[in-house]
Amino acid sequence: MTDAKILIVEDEAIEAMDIQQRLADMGYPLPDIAHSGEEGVRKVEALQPDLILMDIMMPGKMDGVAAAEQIRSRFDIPIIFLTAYADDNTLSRAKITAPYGYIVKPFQERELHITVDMALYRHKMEKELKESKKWYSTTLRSIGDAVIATDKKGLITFMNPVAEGLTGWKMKNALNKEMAEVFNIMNMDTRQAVENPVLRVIREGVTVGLANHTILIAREGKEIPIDDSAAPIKDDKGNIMGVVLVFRDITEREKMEEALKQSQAEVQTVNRDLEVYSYTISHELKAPLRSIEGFSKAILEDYANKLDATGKDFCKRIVAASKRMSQQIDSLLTMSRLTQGELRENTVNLSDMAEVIAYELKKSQPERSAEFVIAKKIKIHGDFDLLRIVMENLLANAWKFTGKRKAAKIEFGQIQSKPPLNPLLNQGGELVDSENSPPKLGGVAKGRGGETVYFVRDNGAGFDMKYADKLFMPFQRLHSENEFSGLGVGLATVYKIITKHGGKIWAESEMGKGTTVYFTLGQTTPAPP
Amino acid sequence: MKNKHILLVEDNPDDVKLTLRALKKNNILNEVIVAQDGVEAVDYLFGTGKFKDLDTTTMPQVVLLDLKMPRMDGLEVLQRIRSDEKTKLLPVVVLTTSNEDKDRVESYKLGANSYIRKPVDFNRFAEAVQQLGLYWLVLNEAP
Repeated sequence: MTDAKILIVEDEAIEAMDIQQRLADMGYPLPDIAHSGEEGVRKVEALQPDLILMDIMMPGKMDGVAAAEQIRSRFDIPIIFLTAYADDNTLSRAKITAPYGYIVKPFQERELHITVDMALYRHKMEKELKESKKWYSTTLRSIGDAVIATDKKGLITFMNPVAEGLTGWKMKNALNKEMAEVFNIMNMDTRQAVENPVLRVIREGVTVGLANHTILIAREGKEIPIDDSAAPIKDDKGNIMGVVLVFRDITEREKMEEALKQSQAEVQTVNRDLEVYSYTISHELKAPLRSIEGFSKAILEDYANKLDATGKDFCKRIVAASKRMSQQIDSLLTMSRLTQGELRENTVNLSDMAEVIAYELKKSQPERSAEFVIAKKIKIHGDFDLLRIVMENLLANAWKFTGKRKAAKIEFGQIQSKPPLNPLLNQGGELVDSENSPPKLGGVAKGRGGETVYFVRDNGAGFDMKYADKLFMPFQRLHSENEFSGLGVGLATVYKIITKHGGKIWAESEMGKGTTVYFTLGQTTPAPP
Repeated sequence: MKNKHILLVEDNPDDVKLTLRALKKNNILNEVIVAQDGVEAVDYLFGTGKFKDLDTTTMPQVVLLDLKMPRMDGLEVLQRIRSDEKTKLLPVVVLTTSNEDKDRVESYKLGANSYIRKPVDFNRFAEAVQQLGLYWLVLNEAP
């Protein structure tokens, strides 16, 4: 610390200059000189030196010891006394000012050098220590948790204000008291005293936490639910020097947990009610429908000869309407059930699934000539039963809306959306088709960049994109019943399933040209082949 | 006359009528005993309550069992049937009203042999009967 500013307080001008010169020779910046105690105090104020060399015997009202006392009370600057006399009285007066050194004149240059260096070094170390102590204690005082520290016998050495507030003890009253006296805890349910964690830490040398349902009984008898842990404070060699206990008031948390539990129970009740409700609807509403349908059929069959064509037509309409309503009830129930229950995830081969569905569709109307183009080996993670509903709906829709095409073509495949993504429908976002054929309807990457997008494409009737937002809403239909029959719940169900898988679904269409429905399944990588 | 009869347990009179009609229409002329709820069905099978004087040595060939009924529901009847030595092996076909998986699973757990979705029509009935190996019912000729 050769740049240390030193102040010399010495009434003898020659002596002062001699010391000044010697210090300068040692490499310190040229020290300032004060010629009396009073001047010394003034100069300390003005210069804020790093070290003071103070002569004890000086004329005037203030000798060196008195000046040192004043300086020490106001500044944290190390002082070294210089004196020719070292009588006991002076020494004992000087000692009270806690000097950093004491040099008896006449002194060797070497002695001066060592004393000055040591004083500067010691002061620097002490200052750092003080600062870190202050930093730690401020930290402990500022943190929101209560902190109590003890020595290795378990006697309290420190409490922060939060700990004072919770226990009702002031630190000054709690110092050196047994932990158990200040930190009095018991089990909330049994109301039995709980072993003090500090004692266990001292005994076992490990960090311990409190069991649940612990309450602290404050000094004035107030009971506070707390959560805590106690850890040993160890020295460099691993010996336990003490214990630090950290705890917090969990009244609020307990309240919130209680509220959460209650609302969870409420949700469960609501879900149960809903289930009962659905079940009742399906049974009670469908019974009369069954009668309407059944007896209308019976009339048609048993009394056919008594009905004319119009009468028969009416009966047929009754049968059709009740069938339709029954299906509608079923679809609604299926859809509402989808929101309940967990996904049962597995590897699902969508390609195989599509093949099976295509086969069934063709079998249902063997007179139709339709071509299915199904990409091979598309495997994903998902819920088999739910994805089957998705594929059935999408392919059946494609089948239905290509019903009036002479050469119907229905495709299922996957494409990789290319980052960067464009989240807007109908704008940009190129798609790279894994089947090496560009998407026919100007692809849209709505998913995240690099995500796999699956699609079902048809060359059927298409729909007006004006109504695209209605596509996935329940009971919304974009075609009249005369054109294409349907319930309007298929895509709403599909939407729910895709959403449940964390994916997205959207569609593109052009009237008279066809529709492509795209969907993702909320995963960036498909299942391994 | 009580030979090879069918026990239909069904509380809804419309469903009873439609089921009987479907059976008759398809030449199944076995006698059909109708129990209007679970309690009646159990009484009939075990000769208790209003059937306490009934000779229960001849069991029905098959029980068509509705699930949702007043007093005692179908699942409870099924449980009673399966827990008694005498009726343990009685073929039971559960009648369900919808695609309620829960009902079906529950019924199978309790030992139902098959199920038919209502309304009971010939095809569904034939399918279930075939599954049970009770071909005689379908092939039955008028006496």
